[in-house]
Amino acid sequence: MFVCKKFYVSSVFSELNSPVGTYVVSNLAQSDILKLHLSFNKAHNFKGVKCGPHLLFLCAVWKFHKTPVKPRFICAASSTPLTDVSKWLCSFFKAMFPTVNDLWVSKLKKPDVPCDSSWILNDSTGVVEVINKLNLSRSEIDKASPLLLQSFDFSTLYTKIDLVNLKAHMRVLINKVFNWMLELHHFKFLMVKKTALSFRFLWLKNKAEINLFENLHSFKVGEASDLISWLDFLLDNLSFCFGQGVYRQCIGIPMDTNGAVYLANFYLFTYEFDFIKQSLEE
Amino acid sequence: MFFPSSASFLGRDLIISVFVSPPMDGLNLSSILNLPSVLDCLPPFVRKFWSLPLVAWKYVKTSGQEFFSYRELGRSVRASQVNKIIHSSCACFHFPSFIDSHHGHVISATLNILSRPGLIELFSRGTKFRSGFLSMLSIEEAIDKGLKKFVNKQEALLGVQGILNEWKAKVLLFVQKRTCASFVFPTSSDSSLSVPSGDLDHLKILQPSLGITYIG
Repeated sequence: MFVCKKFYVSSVFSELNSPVGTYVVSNLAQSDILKLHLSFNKAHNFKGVKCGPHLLFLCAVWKFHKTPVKPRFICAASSTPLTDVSKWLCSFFKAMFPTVNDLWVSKLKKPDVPCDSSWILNDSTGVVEVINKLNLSRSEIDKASPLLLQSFDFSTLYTKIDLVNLKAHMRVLINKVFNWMLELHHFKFLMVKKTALSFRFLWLKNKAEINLFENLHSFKVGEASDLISWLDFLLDNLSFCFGQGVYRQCIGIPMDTNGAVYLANFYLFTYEFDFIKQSLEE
Repeated sequence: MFFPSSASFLGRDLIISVFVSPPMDGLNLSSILNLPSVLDCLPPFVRKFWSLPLVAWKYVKTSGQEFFSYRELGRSVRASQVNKIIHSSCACFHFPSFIDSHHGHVISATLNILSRPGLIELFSRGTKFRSGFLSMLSIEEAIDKGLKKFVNKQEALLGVQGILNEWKAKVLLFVQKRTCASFVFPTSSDSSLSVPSGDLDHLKILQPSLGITYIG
């Protein structure tokens, strides 16, 4: 799509200076931030970057399905020092996802509510499956008349999530998932193995089991505290640049970064889970 | 002169060439390298230790990587340039039919803004389309470049300069023959595209006033 350059730059600047205070000018220089990120990578055995290093940068794309056309601000996060941290976290969240579903199913099992998984879907094709399942509860007479289906969307989600609250909710969820696996199977560690073509994960009882795996470069092992510390660092260091100015996002998570979708899904899941838990208790 | 002592001395190396257009696939470079008349051009002591090289293509940038300017605006532009863009007047009046009525500036996904058929065709292929012609290399030049790199490496290993010249010339001769044939009888050219250089120059004129980015 084509956009007037002056309008593009002005739109990004007005977003950066919006009164909501989502972004603040960073009090650290870009080089200092990069140094900090690289030292974190080194300490936690994450990969550095081959060329650069650079910070994320903010860009705008336009939503043509809205009237009037609206900008969507996203952070381009490839080849930054924290890209590897973010990618691994994303993989760990992906590996945690089946257990998150199990937590939900087990919660609803006690009151005998039929349920296969939580409301989180991997992609839009899952919607059809959910609708089909829901339709099973309708009688033949009901099915004769069409059912009105409505869809709702958050107008702004990613840039509204309070970071302190997000960290707290994610900490609870990660601990819940790991405790659940510890209680059920005595698993304490989660191992994720990924290559360009494959993704696999395995829950482990102790770190000695890692020696069974040969390719040391494509897997990572973590326990709950590791995941929490990686996530905390990532969320505390949401720095990006635009026009060589350095900013920090202090409300919400940058869109388009690895793991942002899982964070948003899990964050909303914790509220749903608490609601169900509370409802059952009442 | 250095004489290699084992068959694995040269190893099986890669000839890496820029992939400029789909007819390159039809050339079947690997089969050229295996032709007896090509192998005969290798000096006997080299042939004894010769492992047939593997052929690999190096793909050029996609249209998105080549033309989209959000990266340049977000990462490379200096603060002074950003201020200049904000405080200068925009060039939207050049494209009156593409101005968004609400914002009063050009925001358009209509390719007609490009006004050149070659550019419209190029952009209509999508952001992942690899526009090989932008490398400004012909098929022969691209393969020549790849061969040169391979030959230099092998000759350095052997310690003899120019020993593979005859072999390289023979390979290029077959490449030339097959290139001519592939243009007369094209294999599959659905994904090939040529854009006149004048059209690309026109894009360069548009780029200072228009940002090119994805649709959200």
